[in-house]
Amino acid sequence: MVIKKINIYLFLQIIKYFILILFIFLGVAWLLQITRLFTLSNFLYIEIYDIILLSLYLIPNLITVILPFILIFGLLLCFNKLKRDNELISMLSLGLGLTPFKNTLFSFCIIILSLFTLLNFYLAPKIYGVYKIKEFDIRNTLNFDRMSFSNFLNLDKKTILDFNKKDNEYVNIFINYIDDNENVVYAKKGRIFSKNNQYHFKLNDGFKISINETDEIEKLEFKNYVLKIDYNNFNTSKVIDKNTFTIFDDYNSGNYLNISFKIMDIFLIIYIVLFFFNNNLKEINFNTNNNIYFSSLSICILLLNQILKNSQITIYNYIFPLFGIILFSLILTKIKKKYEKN
Amino acid sequence: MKKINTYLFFLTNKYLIINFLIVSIFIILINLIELSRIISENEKNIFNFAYLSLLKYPSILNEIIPFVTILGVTFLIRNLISNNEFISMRNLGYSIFDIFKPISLAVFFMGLFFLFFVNPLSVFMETEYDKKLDNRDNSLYSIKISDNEMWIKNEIDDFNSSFINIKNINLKNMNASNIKILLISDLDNKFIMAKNGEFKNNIFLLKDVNYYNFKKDEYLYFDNYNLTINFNKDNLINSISKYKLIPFYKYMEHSETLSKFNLYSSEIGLYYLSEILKPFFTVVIAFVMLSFTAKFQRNENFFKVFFIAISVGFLIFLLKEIITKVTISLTLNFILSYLVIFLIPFFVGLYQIIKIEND
Repeated sequence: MVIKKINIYLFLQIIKYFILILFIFLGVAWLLQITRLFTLSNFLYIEIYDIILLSLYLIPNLITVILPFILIFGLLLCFNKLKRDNELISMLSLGLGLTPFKNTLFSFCIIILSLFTLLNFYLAPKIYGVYKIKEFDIRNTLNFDRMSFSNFLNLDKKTILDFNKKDNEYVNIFINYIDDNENVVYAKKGRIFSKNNQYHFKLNDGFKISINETDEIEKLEFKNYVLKIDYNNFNTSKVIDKNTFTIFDDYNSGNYLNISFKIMDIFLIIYIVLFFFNNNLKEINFNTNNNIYFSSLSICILLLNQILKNSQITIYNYIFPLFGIILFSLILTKIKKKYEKN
Repeated sequence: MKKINTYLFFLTNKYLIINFLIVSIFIILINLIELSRIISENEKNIFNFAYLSLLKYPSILNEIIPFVTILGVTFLIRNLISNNEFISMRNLGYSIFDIFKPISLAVFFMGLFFLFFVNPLSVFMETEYDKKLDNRDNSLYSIKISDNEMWIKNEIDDFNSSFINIKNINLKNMNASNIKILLISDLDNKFIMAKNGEFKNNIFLLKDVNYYNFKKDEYLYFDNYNLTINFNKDNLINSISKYKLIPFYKYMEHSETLSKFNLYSSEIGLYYLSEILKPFFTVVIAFVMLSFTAKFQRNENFFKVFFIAISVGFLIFLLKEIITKVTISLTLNFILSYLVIFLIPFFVGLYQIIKIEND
């Protein structure tokens, strides 16, 4: 009964701190991403609501990246607090040894790993794929009505557009496009809109200059002029990257390297919990140096994992350095413990 | 009294530094994913990742100041309360404002340090970062260059402007070739084509020139033609830079240059103003965080207060971003927008502190 109560209490404490750190880090990461999205979309004048909604699609992917990081600080903060309030000593003095800690960490690990596996293998890539397509659509859909000015906008490889807006009216419209000749069009005012895969320019009070290959100039002055330029729909297939592949996509395409990255992520979570148990919890050692030792070594492993995952490498070049640093951390911890005992 | 103030000052610095370390490493971790997306395949090796992360580090530090202030001050106050130091200070007759003084001083000095040292350093290193990645993404607010082709819109005055297209420009010596210029005026329009050109002071020296006058409908040829412009070579080079990659001491100069090319907007004004006033804004953030965490009592549920305080901090950050967005969309006065960004959290903090003092 007592063990059960202690287990539940410990479990709730770990969950509480885990959620707190998750909230902080996810908040920081999400806000920084939303700032980037705002900056990217400022000139496109996209609704705030749309950007906030778009940024929400990033959350599952962010969680899979930051979860091991959260684990390090969540566990440290939680057990430091329990140590400071003498709760760890009280639990040990009940004569139950390390069993409640082991049980709780095990249950916590099972829950986190289940969630992480689901996210990492299926949900996060799926949702990130949706994000990439939506972001691409937003970036490539020009809504001229929402722009207050442009800076020589490339409508396609052959067409450049520039304009100002005055009292919601397009003024000083400049268009440079290439067909058989190079053409420069200028109008004092006009209307611009896109319809049926075409940009429509209804221009007033301006002129058009055509320059042929021998630099001869042909001029046309107009009161009203209509210009239509085709635009192509962008191919969204190029926005797909490896982070958008689910386990099924990887399996079907035989991308076993990507699968091994994801399995390694799971292994690293288990390793961090075990490392924490072995380095800190086993001997109730929560002094500053030991905490720094645990956190910095764990962060190094995580950083190396991220770098290797994102480098162009073979499975052996990925596995060996990573296991190398893990082995190094185990040996270092052993030496450290021996030194501390002496 | 002096001892307590010194203690609080150094403790605040300690918390800020710890938070800077943790949050910046965390952001580097996220940035690695971004890096892997933009770095070319054959350059994806551990040294490049490390070098590029190092180049990005000052910008990351500059970016995370608000978060570090939010977290640093919240954890500091929580620590003071948990150790009964906060209540001891209150018993000594310290008001919340008295406790805030050394904290605000530490936060302000950190802000100044970032403005005077980290800001120029981050500009320098971010520029190197862009060079290394060959990042040629054009900012909306800089002169457009792609594949050595340059597009310039020059606002001469209210009645005269010009569109300049240089097909080939050497950015080292600013020699141009294959040039087309459209001069727009209320009285008369002109179109100029030149084989070569050179920027010298406020004159664009054109060679081998075809000149067309719209009003007179006449074509002329000149061996040399000097076009007077209201910008020089340096203005041009400065305006190629992204507006965020300008050190704080050049903000004024850069704003004036951008105006000449019709590239200045309230977004730039707001960004520059908020960078210059960042030390004050971080103090306001610290003030709000103190006001929300100071009501926490040792035996109270710490989580509730903590979550509320950090949420408020994050909301202030989001508010700043949303107001910036609204300012750009509605082309509002950026000084007014900054006042709103600054005063809303200030009054929220003030209200909370008065409430605590009254309780």
